[in-house]
Amino acid sequence: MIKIENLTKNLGENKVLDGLDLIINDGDIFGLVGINGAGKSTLLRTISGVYEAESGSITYDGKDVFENPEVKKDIFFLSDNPYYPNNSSINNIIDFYKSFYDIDVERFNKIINKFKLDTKKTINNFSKGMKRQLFIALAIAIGPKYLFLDEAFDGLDPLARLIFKRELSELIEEKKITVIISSHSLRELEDICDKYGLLDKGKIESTGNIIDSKEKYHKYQLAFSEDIDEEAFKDFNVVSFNKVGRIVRIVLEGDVEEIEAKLNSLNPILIDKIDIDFEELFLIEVEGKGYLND
Amino acid sequence: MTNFKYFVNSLKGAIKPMVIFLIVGMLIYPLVVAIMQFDEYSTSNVGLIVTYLAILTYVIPIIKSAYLKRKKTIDYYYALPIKRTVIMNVNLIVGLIELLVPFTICYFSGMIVTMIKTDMFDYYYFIPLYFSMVGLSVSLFIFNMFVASRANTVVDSVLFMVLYTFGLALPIFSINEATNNGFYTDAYMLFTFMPFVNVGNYYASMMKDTSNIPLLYPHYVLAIFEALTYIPLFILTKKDKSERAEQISNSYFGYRTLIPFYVVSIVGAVVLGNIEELTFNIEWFMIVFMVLAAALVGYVIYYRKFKLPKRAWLMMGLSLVGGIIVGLLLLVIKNQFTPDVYALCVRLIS
Repeated sequence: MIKIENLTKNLGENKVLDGLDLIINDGDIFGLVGINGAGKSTLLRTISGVYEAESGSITYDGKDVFENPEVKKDIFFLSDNPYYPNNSSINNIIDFYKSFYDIDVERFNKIINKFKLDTKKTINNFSKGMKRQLFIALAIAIGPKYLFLDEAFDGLDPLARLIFKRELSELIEEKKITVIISSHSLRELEDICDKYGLLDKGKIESTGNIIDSKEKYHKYQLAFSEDIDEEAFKDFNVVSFNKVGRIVRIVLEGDVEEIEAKLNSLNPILIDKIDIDFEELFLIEVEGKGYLND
Repeated sequence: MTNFKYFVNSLKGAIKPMVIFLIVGMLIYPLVVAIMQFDEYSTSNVGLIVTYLAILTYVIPIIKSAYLKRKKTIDYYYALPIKRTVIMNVNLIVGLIELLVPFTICYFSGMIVTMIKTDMFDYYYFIPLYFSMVGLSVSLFIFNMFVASRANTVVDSVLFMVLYTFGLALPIFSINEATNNGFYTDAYMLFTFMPFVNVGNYYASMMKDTSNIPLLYPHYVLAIFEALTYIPLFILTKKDKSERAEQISNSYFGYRTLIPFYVVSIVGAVVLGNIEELTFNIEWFMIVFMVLAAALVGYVIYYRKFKLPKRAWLMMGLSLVGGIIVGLLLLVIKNQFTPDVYALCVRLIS
């Protein structure tokens, strides 16, 4: 279990993480979301032991991570812009990481083949996406107890994303590892993650199970025979309201049966319940923080 | 075991630069002595390889500490399950191997080539020179690793090294310039590369039995001081904030102290010379003006912007005032003692 308590981290004069508390249980697949500059990368670097916290604690089953190789050997952190020594080949990278981790070379080769990476080329000649694929293959072949992926899907084409998600799911199924993924590709996160945390102003502002959180909100498309004003929905807990002519798209919070009874009382000619995806959930959450207000 | 594997891996990575350093070294020394014609005026040319060693003692620490200067390399190294002091130590040891292996091969190859070509040198002195060079280069290497580690970019590493190379000698140099009291020759001996020059020249002259160059033992004291910088290097590596990579180099061992130090030293000397000679000539003001202009450039490089913070202007003002006070204090000291005692005091302070 990863336990983060009252974590504070400054970058220069900016307080990036400010009293952050979070618990990640073993086996969680945790999606870390937040707007640009929210501190996702800083959080991942700090919990990986790359950065030292100003205050607070980060413990893995009770043990501190910073400058603790015993804990860090169970962690693999794939940064958003992974480094490789100039002119190194795939084999050089594998050799280097073999010094620190047990690498399943067979698995690595299998993923490399799926990604169709040319093992004879030096990494300098790889595109951004290919470099990402290489390090993803490495991360999965290491299969650490804790895997942290920053901007996991950045630069990957749809096929590579699919391969990545499948391989990661296989690894999770097989080894029950704990994964924290930060990404702006929320649809991809939704496919993989069971939990999420929204990072805002240095704190985890909301966290929980993705499915449960989505079920807090209910989205409807309604059609009315006559023009209807937003005022008509004043008795609802409205999260977002959008009207085009006599068609209303509305997101509401509350008990679904109660909501639908009230909506029916407005006599719409059509009520459609639409599923909310993770991206919408994110937008609802950030809108609630005032980010979308003009 | 992990640490050892990391060491072996780093050593493998050092093979290519080592081969390059070796090839360049072979071209510089053994090849030169192989093709040269020796006559009674010839020297052993051992200075060529000593100069090359001195240059590498500055270059390799910059390369070996470069991993601290980029965010992506920091992520790469500091996320590994290995302590950062181990990374630093491995880099230090591998860097010394990169330095000393090519040097040793080139040195003794050059010596053998010279021995084959002529018997005009006393080859016994190649041995103490070799060990002196190894000792001096290890010390300076550690010192330069420390200096380079305080910078947050490679460019700042280079500038810090330049400032330290001349900085240790600066107070004495400035006082000599101002007072003409004969310290000048001693001052430049404190440039960090001077032990190579002095010890190299001493043994080179001994090889030809024409020694009139004194071996300056304070150089070995300087080497001990340099080697001792391993202690702050180790401590600061443990305490380092890894997020400082690519940021302004804000260390107290960097611009923050070096710029005021340079200003105080030079302005102090100028004030001392000016008041003592009671000649308020324009040259002195020009020197002060140039020092302040250089400090301004230094702060622009430090903060990487033209609009300097108030702190920079304040430090320049304080340094100027500090320099004036230092100059006046030196004048008081000078007037209290005879020139000889004064000279002795300055020697002791230096």
